[in-house]
Amino acid sequence: MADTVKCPVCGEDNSAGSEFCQYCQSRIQPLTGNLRGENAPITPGESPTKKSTADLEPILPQWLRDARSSARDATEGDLPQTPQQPQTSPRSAPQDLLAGLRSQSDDDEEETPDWLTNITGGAPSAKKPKEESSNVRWVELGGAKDSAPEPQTNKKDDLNDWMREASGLPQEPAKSEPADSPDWIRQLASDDTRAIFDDSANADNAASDSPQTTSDWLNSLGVSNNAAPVASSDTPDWQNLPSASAPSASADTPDWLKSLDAADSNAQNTSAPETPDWLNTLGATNSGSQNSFETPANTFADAPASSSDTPDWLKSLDAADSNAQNTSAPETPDWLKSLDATDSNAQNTSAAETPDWLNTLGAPSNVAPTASADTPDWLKGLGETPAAPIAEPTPAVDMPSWMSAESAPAAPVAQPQKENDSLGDVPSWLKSAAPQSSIFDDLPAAQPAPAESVENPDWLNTFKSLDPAKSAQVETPPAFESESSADALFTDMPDWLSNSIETPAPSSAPETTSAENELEVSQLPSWVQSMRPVDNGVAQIASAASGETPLEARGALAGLQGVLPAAPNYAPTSKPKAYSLKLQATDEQVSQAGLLEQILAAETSPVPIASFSTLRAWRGLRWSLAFIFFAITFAVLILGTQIFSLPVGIPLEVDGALQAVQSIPQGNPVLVAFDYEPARVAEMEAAAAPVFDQLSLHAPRLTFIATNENSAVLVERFMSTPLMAEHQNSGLQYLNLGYLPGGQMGIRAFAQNPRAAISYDVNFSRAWDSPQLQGVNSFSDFAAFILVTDSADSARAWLEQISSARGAMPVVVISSAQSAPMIQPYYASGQITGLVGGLQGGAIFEQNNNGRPGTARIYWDAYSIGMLIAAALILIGGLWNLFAGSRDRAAAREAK
Amino acid sequence: MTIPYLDLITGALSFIFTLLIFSYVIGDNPLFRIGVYIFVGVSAGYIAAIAFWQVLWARLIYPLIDASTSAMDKAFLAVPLLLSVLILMKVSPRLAGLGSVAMAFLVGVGAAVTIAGAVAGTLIPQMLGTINAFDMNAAAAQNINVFEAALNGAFILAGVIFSLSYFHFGAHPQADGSMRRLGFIEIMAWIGRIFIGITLGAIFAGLYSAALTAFIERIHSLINFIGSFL
Repeated sequence: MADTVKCPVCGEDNSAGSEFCQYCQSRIQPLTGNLRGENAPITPGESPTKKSTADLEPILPQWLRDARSSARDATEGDLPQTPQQPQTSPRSAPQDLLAGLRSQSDDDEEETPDWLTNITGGAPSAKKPKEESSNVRWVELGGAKDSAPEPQTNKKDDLNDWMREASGLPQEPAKSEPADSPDWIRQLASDDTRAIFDDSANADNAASDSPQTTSDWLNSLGVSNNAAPVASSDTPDWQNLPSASAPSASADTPDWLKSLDAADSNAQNTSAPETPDWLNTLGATNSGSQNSFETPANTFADAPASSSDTPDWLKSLDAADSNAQNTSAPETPDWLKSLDATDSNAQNTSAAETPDWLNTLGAPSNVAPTASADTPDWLKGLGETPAAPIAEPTPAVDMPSWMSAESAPAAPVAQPQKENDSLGDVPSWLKSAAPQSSIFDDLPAAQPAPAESVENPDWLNTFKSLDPAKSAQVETPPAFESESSADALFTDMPDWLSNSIETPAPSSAPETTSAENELEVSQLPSWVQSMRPVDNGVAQIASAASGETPLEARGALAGLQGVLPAAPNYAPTSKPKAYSLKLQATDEQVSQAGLLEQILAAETSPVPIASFSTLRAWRGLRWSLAFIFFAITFAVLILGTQIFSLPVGIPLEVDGALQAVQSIPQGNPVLVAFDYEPARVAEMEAAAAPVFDQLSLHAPRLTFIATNENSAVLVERFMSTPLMAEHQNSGLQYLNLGYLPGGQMGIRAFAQNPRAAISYDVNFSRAWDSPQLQGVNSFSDFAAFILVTDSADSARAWLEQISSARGAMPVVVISSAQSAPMIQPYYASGQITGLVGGLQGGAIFEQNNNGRPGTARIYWDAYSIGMLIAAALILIGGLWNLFAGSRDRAAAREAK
Repeated sequence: MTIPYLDLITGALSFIFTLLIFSYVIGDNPLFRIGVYIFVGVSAGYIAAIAFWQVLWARLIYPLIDASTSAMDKAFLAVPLLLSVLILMKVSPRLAGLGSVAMAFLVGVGAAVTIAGAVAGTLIPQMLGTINAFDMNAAAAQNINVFEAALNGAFILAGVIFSLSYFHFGAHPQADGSMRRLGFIEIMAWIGRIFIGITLGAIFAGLYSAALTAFIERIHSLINFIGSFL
């Protein structure tokens, strides 16, 4: 064990003289030295000398230095401005600073400096479980569930190495005692000439249950009061100091402090197993008549395995105890053996050999304590504290002053002890850190806090003020205020930490705020507080802003006023200038404006529209007319009457068509364009049949082309009529080229180059190879062009596009009666040779077909009667309207 | 008399649809609508078939696959093929721009052909026709009396001038602020309204004549269909 040293960080073994770990390069040898020379541990009765640890500041992590500097700045800024602030405010800063450190240390545990680890004396824990944060939380806040017991099995894994070494566990020989224990304790342990404890066997049992990672001397702060401890074993050691006020930390209590608890063990049987052995030994040394003192001793004696964890110097205590087991006696240091030897005698007589401060621990167990002159004062004070409920404490002569001061207020606290046993045995300075005392006790909030001693460890005061709500009560028993010897325990505290805590101390004032408010304030991390605006800035902003500016209620700008103006530049700088709306206009301009206004008014004013008497759909009249037409037409067609003669005479256009058809040479190609809708089939066929009947007499080579999609099939229909069928039987042949697409462009293309425009007929035969198109190479090669159309537009398109290509080719148009009037000008202009329009034109043309009756004759009587009926009805209707209008006007005239 | 089944079927269909259309006499009714819808549908289908078989197939596809078509003709068919493909892009909104090329070609060529045809085939010939109406030699060649030819020409000229005057809308502001054409323009326009009225009357008579002819033909077909069974 002496050859190797276990690295506190990685746990690997290193040579004893190594300063840094060869595995993780962590510092093994603490920077605080071996407590030699001026750093040597103080002995009871010595006043601690304040040390400057500023030299260690450069090696601090950056985050720690930043936190320190920010805390220092914040403190410096607050001091001159808040001299009269309540005590809570300045105290919250160091609390928050430490809270921030705690939170960061949770995340960056590996960055904890060695010196900080060595201060606490605890070995760095490898990994923290997740639930530890909650423990830290209640340690800080002093939760009500502090008394929850923790299973010993978990704590057993956390046994400190040096404690195991002390218990003599053979299975863990690699534990490095010097690395895990504070030097000053080790220094104490090396002093084997002093007899401290009485029962080393009980100390072994208690040491077996102590956690490993928690600093012993800090956890010991919480041992004395806890009936059901719930230890936060992985809590940073120096932060576990506040947890001393929590009863759950008893398992981690340092041995020398657990001895205090053991002295108070009149009610703490359950906490006894978790108490270090050497502290339990103290409890066992109580020679009082309480049976509870014997119970834990017996219990621990039943756990021999745990005794192996006792350090050597503690085992010596066991060996020295004549009433205890001698199993560890050979390994017991001499100075512990001396304790046993002392204990073997009467308790009152052992004080002479034992150190003074240790004798004081045994003093409370005596009904009539007689403090030894060698007992340190502060230990005497500790020993007197639990003795209060038993007997009247007798201040020791050699007790340090601070311990005397501690014992003094113990008497007033004795009354609350009856109500809360866990607090009754706690020294008054530890009660200040107890959260339950600060939360549930109802003390005057305005109670002035006693001035803290400069020599008092400031960082400890900070812990005491973790619960600022009851800081007054916490500060009531200033355990270390007047006792400078208490600082000897914490002389290793770095200066920066002390300074950061000392700064607000002068400004501390009696707590006047409520507990709830203080809790909220104390929960703010220091880095959040550092972000908050200082009072100077707020005052400046507030002074710059008007009273109407909004006050920010939440967010990072909470408490600021006028930082974010709601409507900048919206405030009018002056009253708007009034401008006159009166126009400077001349009379002419006014008159023109009036005219424009009249025009606009006339546009918007409703104008009565002269409505015509609409021809209402009189159903009776319509049905009557329909009946007339149907009856007459049926009668005429059924009877086949020829009442009306065909038109006499021949119009010029019809005569021109007749001449053109008759002038077509025999067997010449004739181009016929069909362009009408199926609805006009009756009229178009009635008009075209006589023409083609006349044309068929000349045996033409007919070529049909259609510029209407439906006309291609109408060609076939027309050629299948009885008249044309007769001509076909006579040898008439025709070629149907089908549909000519493109409208006027197609007509133009066909007129310019018929062979290129159409290559195939409707039967997909080469059109120009057919006999009908023999000798036809251009449009003008046709002997005649006959256009059968019901549309004037179609006729105009054809006539327009073929005008340049037709040459002298005669053009005959057979049109519907509705389009004939509009095609008539083309005949008048000479662009077409003849025009046959409608049934009338067909009837006229038909009369010149050698007297062969055709379709026109069949329809002519019905057509004539229909035209007469229409003319008569139009005339009658016109006359009726004339009569009705005259009557209305006469009535209106009479009415006037 | 034996009626072929095909003629019987077509005659029956013609008879039924004729009655459906005639039902419009009593007003708009479902029978009339059925007949109209069927006509529209059949016409659309027939036009589509014509467009494919007589345009695409006969003028584009078949010449391309026909071995007798020369290579030069097939090469020229690439132009309408490309334009037709491009104009099909109009179906897609994203590719409609490609179809604009073909549409531009159609619009440009169509406008040019129409304008050129109108000028050369209508405007100039009609103006010449109006002028030549007073050509006595031409009238004499047609055995037309000179007086009659001059009167006819004068009437045509008057009708043209008065009708054109009616469509002259140039006016001048009056003292009371109203706008009015010149006096003689107003007279000519009024006379032009007579000519226009007569022309519209003639057109109306033509429409009535065409409709009456169609009506008579339908009645005649009904009678023939019924008479075929008698």
